[in-house]
This record gives sequence, structure tokens and C-alpha cells, in this order.
Amino acid sequence: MPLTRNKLYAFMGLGSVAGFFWLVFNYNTYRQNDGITVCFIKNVTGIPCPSCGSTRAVEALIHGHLVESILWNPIGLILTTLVIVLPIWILIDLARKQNSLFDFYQRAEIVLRQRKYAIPAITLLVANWIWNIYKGL
Amino acid sequence: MDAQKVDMFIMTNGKYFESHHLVQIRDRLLQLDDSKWSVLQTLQFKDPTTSLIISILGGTLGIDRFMIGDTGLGVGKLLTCGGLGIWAIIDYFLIMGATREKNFAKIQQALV
Repeated sequence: MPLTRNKLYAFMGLGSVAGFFWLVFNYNTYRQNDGITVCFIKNVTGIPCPSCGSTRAVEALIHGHLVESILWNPIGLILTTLVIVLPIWILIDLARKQNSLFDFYQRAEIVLRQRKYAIPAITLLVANWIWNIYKGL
Repeated sequence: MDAQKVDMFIMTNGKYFESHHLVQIRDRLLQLDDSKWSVLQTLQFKDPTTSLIISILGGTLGIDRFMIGDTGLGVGKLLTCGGLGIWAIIDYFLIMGATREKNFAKIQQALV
């Protein structure tokens, strides 16, 4: 089935809720490096993946340590923005019976596929990944 | 279009589509003009088996979703480490169907 507005909103909403549960679950343990890890790549190879450490980054942000959060993983900032903005945007869209988020999502997909945006994004991500491995998350 | 030609197309490309789409594709092709045959021949479809292999190997990084053209979902998967590993496992089962859906969308677009 092709991606429809309601399906995308349900998916994003569920994702945000799951994200909040995950944050509550990890609220007190974020500074313990030996905690459980769900990362498939890290469990198999021992090398952190590009987004390893983003839970710790978001938790650090919740506890009010911005610099620590960026040092854990800058992706945490992106995820924090998404998890706050998306549910609000979805609720506004549902209340007004619009599909501005769905339109935005589709436009963002087209933009991201262009080479001039994709290549810098991939470069940044790989640089972040190398930094992650160097930090030994 | 010739029924023989259409059946040949269905036979060679059947694995790229969901079974319930095949009837629809066949009917649509039978109504088509013969001049569309060359367009149809040049279409390239993505193999569901390939995307399953990519999903198993690179699913946590969202590479499977990027490959079939779901850039937004790919980014989501990449940033969340494959949805904490859960989404990556769910996608082992969904990705073949998703690839077939993409192929169906592609053939629909080409034949309009």
C-alpha cells in the first residue's frame, strides 16, 4: 500500500510516543556506559553505529547539559527537535484537517534526493560516525 | 496489445509484483496500444530479493529504504539506529512487499 497521510501520521505519532517511553526508561542510567544496548551493529561488531549515543545525548539535554549532549552525539539534537515538533504538527494538522506535514515530508524527500544536498549530508554523517568510533561510544 | 506479448511480460516480470496486482496489470496491458511495448521493455524493476538481502545487511542504517526510494523513512531509520533495532527487524518482513509496491507504482506511472 502506498504511503498515505494518515498512515504517515500514525507512524510518526507512534514513533514519538515510543521515543518518549524509551527516554523515561533510560532516565537515570544515561551516564552508565555499561548499560544495555539495543544497537544491532554494536552488539555484532563492537563498533558503534552513526546514531549510537543519541539516547545519552537527549537525556543529557533533558538534564540540562547542552555541551555534554553535543559531545555525546549531535544527532540527539535533531531527534529532540523531531520528537517535540512532530506530535504538535500532527495534532495541528488533524485539528485543522490539513495535510501540511505530509506535503512537507514529500517535498523534503525530493530535496534530500538531490545530489547537492545528499552529498554534504552523507559526508557529515560519515564524519560523525568516525567521531563516534574515535570516542568509543 | 497482443495477449501473447502480455503473458510473456507477466511471466518474465511476475516476481516483481504482488500477486493481486498481476491481474490488474494484465488487464491494463491488454488494453494498451502496441506502441507502448518498447517503453514497457525498457522499464527496470527492483528485485525484492535484493532488497531483502540489503535489509538484513544494512537495515539498521536504513539503506534498504533508501534503495527503494523511501528517503524519508530511510533517514528516520538511520537516525534512530533502525528504530532501536525493532523497526529493522519488522522491515525484514515488510521490505519485499514494499519493493513490489514501488515497482507497481513505477509501471503505473510509465503506462499513464
